[in-house]
Amino acid sequence: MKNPVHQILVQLFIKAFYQQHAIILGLVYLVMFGAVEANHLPEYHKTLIEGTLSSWSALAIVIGIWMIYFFMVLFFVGQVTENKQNRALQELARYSKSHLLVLFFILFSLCLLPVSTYALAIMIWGSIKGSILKIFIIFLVMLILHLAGAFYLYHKILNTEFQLVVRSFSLLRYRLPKKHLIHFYLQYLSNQQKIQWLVVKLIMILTTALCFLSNRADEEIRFSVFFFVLIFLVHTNLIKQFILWENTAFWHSRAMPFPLFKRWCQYTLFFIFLVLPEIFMIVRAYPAHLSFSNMMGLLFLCIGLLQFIFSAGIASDNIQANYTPLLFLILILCYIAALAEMLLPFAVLLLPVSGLIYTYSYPAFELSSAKEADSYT
Amino acid sequence: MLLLHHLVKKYHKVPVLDIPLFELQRGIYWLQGANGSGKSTLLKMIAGLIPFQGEILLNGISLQKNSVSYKNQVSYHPADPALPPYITGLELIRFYDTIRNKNQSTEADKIVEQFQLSEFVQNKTGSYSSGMQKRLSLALAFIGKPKLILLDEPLSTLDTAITQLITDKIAEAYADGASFIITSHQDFEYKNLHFTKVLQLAHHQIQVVS
Repeated sequence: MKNPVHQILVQLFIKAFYQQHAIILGLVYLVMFGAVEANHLPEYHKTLIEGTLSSWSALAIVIGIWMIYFFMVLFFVGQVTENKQNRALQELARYSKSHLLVLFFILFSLCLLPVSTYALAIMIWGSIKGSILKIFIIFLVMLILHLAGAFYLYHKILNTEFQLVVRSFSLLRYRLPKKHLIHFYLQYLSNQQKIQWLVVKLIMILTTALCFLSNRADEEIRFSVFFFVLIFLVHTNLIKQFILWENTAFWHSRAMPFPLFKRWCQYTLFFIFLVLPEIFMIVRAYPAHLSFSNMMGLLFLCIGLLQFIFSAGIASDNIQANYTPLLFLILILCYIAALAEMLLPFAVLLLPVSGLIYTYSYPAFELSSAKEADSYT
Repeated sequence: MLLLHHLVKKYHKVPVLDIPLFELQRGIYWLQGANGSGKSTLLKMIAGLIPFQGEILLNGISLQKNSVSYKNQVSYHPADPALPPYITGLELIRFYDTIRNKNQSTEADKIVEQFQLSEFVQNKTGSYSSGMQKRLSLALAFIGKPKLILLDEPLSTLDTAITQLITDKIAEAYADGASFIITSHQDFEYKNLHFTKVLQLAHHQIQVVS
């Protein structure tokens, strides 16, 4: 790629998008290609595609999932253009409207590639089966998504004050005094993290249900453990955001300094509360495989991962780029441990390892926090 | 050259600028004003970066009616240059160069040499000091020989030698036909830079001081 404009656009949008959403995309990839054994894959996808084409409700669910993905891209693109560091993008306004729209259409196509590839597969299969109306609807939806994305980006580049206002449903807005802990958490969930939480829950529940319905889950304990670890990682990431939010915006309302151990216990309870639906679904979906050792392993993993995220968050506080690779490392290690049927010892080992990371990172973290506090005063 | 016609800008219904009519000829203008008087806002409006009511014309080309042609004549340097940290200075220069010179990167090497950026231009901008960022950002403003260059606080955080270099470049570009509107809280005491006029922003209006 010789064109410097294309190089920078790919770096700022495409590369950054896939890097930032690697965990979610990994989860989707796992559901699509890791849920069944390799020799059953074509049959599995054929069933999924035929299921999508067989009923309007199934098609609506699939389009709904694509919409969630589209909004994920849209929010990401919005963040990139609003970031002061990417002010150079405003230079693109020197291109003509048609040039820019074509450029952004291609940009969105690359971001929507996983979705559009599957949509194309459905359309090809649908054309063989003669489902013309459904193919037309899928084509129309894909076209609208690409065009809407291109026009949104076009307006964001032309006008830095342009905002796409997504009004979240106010019925869920929860206003109560912040005196009680449960109110505090509920307020946070319903106001600050509503969309992320709902999207995560929706994806988790849908994918678990899909695995359950595919009747192949009984054969794949590795998949269930891997899936469980992914659920933990996504939720611990939400907890990390929560800790960050609490430390920056609401520290005064909780009369800090708060005993660290007490805080950690509260985060653990909050975490378990968040993953309860998934735990319930997993236990329902994979009843045959959850032996006592596996159950204990997952329980320790639940606490160990939270501890790990807590310590990794502090360790990578000064180098944000380290955080995602750390998550991947732990994901791969969990998978290897599950393969080797060593989940319980691995999960137990995770606790002292996290403790060590925490012990060694905390002085540097405290020092950087003190410097930051100094800069404010 | 530059005509501001019935310009109104409000932030959350609070008026910031209200300029009925103002015209500038080719020159180097020093725009003064207290903090919050709207200097940066005015520059952003002239650069076409933020929406407003009214019309701006540069050499007869309207920002509203022919924004692409208009924007191809203007260049803007922000007061707080923030650069994408994972991109090298050279990549950024080539990005600007390609866009401003009709998909051909022709000026990059010349700009690196003229603004003495060769020491750090190959590094990612995340490793730059604030002075280096300022230098690179100023260099970017001169790419493509724009007719009007808007410089918001160009000399803060720069050392004396680089300040002299920048003022030399401003004088050179002016001799080549460019005009400048510069906002600064610092006094310009450099022999080779003569301001055509000093402008003052106060009470949402723009006035000629000297």
